Amino acid sequence: MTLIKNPSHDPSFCLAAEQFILENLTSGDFLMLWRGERSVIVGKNQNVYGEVSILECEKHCTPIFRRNSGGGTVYHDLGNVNFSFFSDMGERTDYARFLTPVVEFLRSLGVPAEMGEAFDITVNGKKVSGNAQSVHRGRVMHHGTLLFDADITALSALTSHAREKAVSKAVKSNPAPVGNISDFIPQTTTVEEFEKKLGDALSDEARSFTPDEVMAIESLAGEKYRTWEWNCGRSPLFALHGEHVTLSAKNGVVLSAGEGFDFLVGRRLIPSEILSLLEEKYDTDTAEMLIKDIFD
Amino acid sequence: MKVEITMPSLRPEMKSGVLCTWCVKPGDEVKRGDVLFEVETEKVVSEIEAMHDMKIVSLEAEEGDNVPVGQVVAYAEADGE
Repeated sequence: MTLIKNPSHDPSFCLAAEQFILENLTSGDFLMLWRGERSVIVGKNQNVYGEVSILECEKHCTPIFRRNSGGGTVYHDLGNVNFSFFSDMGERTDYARFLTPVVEFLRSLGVPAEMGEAFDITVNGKKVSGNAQSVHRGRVMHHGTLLFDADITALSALTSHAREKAVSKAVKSNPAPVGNISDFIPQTTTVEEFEKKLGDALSDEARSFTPDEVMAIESLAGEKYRTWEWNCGRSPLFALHGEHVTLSAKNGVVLSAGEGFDFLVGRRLIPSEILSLLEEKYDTDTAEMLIKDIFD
Repeated sequence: MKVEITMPSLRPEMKSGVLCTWCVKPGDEVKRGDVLFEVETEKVVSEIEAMHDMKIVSLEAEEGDNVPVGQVVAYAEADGE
């Protein structure tokens, strides 16, 4: 297993790096560990407008990104260590072959970790790791989070926003009680030390990205993972049944809207842009109230 | 030759999968290995590739549909009898 060193804390770069490795390093087994700045990461096939309070994210200056693997919404900050395995697919979907070494590593630190039912890792009933996969041309990327000393308060505030008024066929998140691994480690350990030990335990050699690889990843990040069209706009068709506003939207663009809100049709669901439109028709307080109805 | 494109079984116990994304549309001519659609099941996103060259005739499932294994999701035309 070759550890690919990735010092970047930019989630868009790291998500692009995952896709780059999956699609371009097509033989051998690789592991990338990374920690991203505070952000909310939705699954590839989720409706941002149904899973996340965009207003809450803006209030906390927290960007939203969409990853290339399945599953639900997760929270990242520098206290969360992500592990991304890349390998041949094999004959069937298999979580255990990737989760077992991580669970064994945690146990070696004195953490009573177990594999959970929903392809996660739990400690004393609390989820410390969520996992998902992406399969491309016979190769698999297995991605997992490890909450080491993440801001659980921020996590709860930013990811507990399943919005029942946004109805769609999109993949839904499956919220669970979460915990930090550092709470279960007997001795004091920093997240940097934890990440180093994890890399040492799971790999037998290491390398860095070449300058050409960094350039290709940066290019992919710019074309995809830093765009509104991917992160929010990829949301599937949904209907919003707000208290005051009803509308339908696909790819983040309003397709139809209830009586009196026709002026929203064709517009992108971006709070600042929608607010400007509402302020042309309503006083500030009413516009703010309608914005919350649509986005909060 | 009319070709049925069905929801594949990606593991022995799989009963259905969510067809998340169509990567083709009716009228498209695809080559063997081109990605036709994406399936999500158990938090795994899998690309489903064309088994041979063909022209897509119709799509029989919508994005977001949970489709049983073996059910037709599209029809296509391919060379040959």
